[in-house]
Order: sequence, then structure tokens, then C-alpha cells
Amino acid sequence: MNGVWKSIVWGGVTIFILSGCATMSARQRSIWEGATMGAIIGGGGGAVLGNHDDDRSDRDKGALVGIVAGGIIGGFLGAMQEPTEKQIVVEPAPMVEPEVAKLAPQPTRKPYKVKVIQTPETAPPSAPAQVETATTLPSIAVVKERIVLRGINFYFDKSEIKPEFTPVLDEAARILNQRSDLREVIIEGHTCWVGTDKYNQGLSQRRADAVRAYLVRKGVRAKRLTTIGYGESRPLADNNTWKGRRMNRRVEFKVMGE
Amino acid sequence: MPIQQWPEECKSRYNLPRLGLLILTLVLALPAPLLAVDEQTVYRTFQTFAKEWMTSLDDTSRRNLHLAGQRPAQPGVIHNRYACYGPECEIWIKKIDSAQTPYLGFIRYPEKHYRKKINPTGKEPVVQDVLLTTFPVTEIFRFTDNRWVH
Repeated sequence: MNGVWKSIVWGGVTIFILSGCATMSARQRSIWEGATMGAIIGGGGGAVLGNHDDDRSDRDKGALVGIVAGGIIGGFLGAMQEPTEKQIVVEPAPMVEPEVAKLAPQPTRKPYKVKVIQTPETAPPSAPAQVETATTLPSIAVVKERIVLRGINFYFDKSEIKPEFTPVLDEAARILNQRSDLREVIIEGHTCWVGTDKYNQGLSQRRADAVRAYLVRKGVRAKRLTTIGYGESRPLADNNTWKGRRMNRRVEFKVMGE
Repeated sequence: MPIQQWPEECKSRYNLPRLGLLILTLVLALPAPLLAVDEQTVYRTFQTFAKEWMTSLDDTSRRNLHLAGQRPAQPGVIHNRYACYGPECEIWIKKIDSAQTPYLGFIRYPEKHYRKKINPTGKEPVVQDVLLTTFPVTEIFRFTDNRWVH
């Protein structure tokens, strides 16, 4: 094996190993993987194109240009790649509730800033003619509040929540631990319509179970939490659009009351 | 000096493909904190993000209202239930101790459930919107890799 090919192979292996670094975010990992593939393909292609005669310098230059160009292009392509719905696999819920006393509540922080904004150039729907009183409704459990967690992310084929998502779950646990009035909480998993019904239903259930397991580990009483995976059956918005699909992918808490 | 004129010793010592890979590695390995932004900037970006998000929710409300107003072919009084979101909202951000996700963003708005009653029996169809329930919704987003992830 000559020097060029050795360089390409070892360089690719080095970058590939680095790309598996546990501290990298999904985006960084994606960039690395793209750059690795680009560098290997570009380096190989450049060496071949530069190998029109026996001049080693031409071959080296070709490989160098190929590696750099391929790496940059691959890196950009990797950066543009969004994690897909299918990259979400979750952990099963533990059956044992931990001792609440062992977990100290997180200190309360005041919000940085609160500001009321109006949606531009929009208006609420036509004003209701009347408000239906409670006496006309049957006495059943109704939704008192919704908390929606966005940016959910789990490792592919592993039962582990990605670290970048845990702050959102920690905040949810803090809210549930602080507010004792939120007694009955349903954790719902929802997906967009990409994928089969069966896959999405299972996926959303596993997501909801994983979130419940995490919250229980953070001191939320397991008895307060139930899970339902709705899959793609309860979209918030139109699944035909990208904006709609992103709104439909969610884990949400429904706080129930009478 | 052109590469071809480099002394052979240099060529072998600083193998060009390896050098290229090294430079590429260093460029791509720039840590995210070097690109970190301050809290005010993060808040401004969240304002922009929240406006876009609320506009999407408003589109959804309009769609729900439109669908609820559709009348089937059969005669009779129709009751359709639908949900609307916002349009008013509160937003805030919270700094947290996480290198990967240094901020969380919150949007809080009301969700209103209506029942639309359509009575098409007369000359002019009678449409009545009845508010059934309203409750708050809090959406939590994370700021990872200098962008709001949803």
C-alpha cells in the first residue's frame, strides 16, 4: 500500500473514531460522519484522477485536493442532515418507584424575562356567543393544563435518552415536583405520519414510557403518571406540511382534573 | 514555492495528504463554545422563533375553524368541536447548567375548545360558536448547537 492510500485510510479511520466521541452533539457527529465519508471518497477520487502518470506529486496533490474538498462538502451535507423520526428508540419504564426523599428539588429560578407578544396580523376565531356552564357538562376528568416537550431525541437502537434532551426533562420533573396540584398526569407520545401506523404507535408508546421512567428517577411519584402512545392518530397540525409535521412530533403532559 | 520544488525530505516528512487531513480535522474540531452567544442574543432569537411558532399555531387554529365549519350533505343540526391556540402568549428563557443545552425556551398560551353548532334548516344557516373549555399550554424548547430545537 503506497503512502497516499495509507494516509487516506488512516485519516478516515482517525476521523471516524473521533466521530464516535460521546461528548459530541448529534449535529457535530453528523458533520464528522459527513466529512469522513467525503474525505475518503474525495481523497480516493483525487488520487485516481491525479494518477495519470507516474508522477507521485500529481497523485498526492490530487488526493489532497480530494480529501479537503470531499471533507468540506461531506461536512456541509452532514450539517444539513436532520435527525429522522426513525432514530428514536427509548428505554422501558422501571417498575420500582425511587424514594422521593433522596432526590433534592432543584432550586427555583426566576424566568429571565417575560413578554407578551401578539401573533402578527392574525385574530382569534369568531367570538363565542356563550360559554357553556359546568352544569351542562358531565362530571368527568377534563384537561386542566398541557405541558409540551419539544426537541425530543433518543439514541438510535439504544434505550437511552440523548443528553441534549435531558434538560427539558429535568425542567418537566422540576415543575411536577414543585406543583403538588398536578396530581394526575397523562404522558402522551405523538409522532408525525412519516412511517407506518404500527411503527409510530409503538414508537410513541416507548417514548412516553421512557419519559415516565426518567421522571420517576427524578423523584416524580410513579402513581401520578400514566402513559399513552397515540402514534400519528392525534395530529395537532396538518401533516402535509413540514411545519405541521414538526408540531405533531411531541411528548406532552396532560394534567387532568374534574 | 510550488509544492513540486519542495525538497524531498520535506515532502516525505510533511506528507501532504496527512497535512490536509490534519488541517481539516482541526477546522472541524472547533468546539461549539467558541461560537457561543450571549443571553440577550439568545432571547432575541427565541422571540423570533416564538413568533414563527405562534404563527404556525394560528394557521392551525384557522384550519380547525375552517374544518369545523364544513357542512355535510345530509340535512340536520351539526355540532363540531375544535381547538384554537393563542393568539396571545408569554415567552421567556432560562439559563441552565448544561454545556450542550445552555438555555431552555418557554412559550405559554391558552388553548380554547369550541363547539360549533350549525343549523342549516332555515333560509340562512345559523352558526353558533360555544366556548367549552380553556386551559393553559406551556411548550418547552431547548437551545442546542446555537439553535432552537423543536
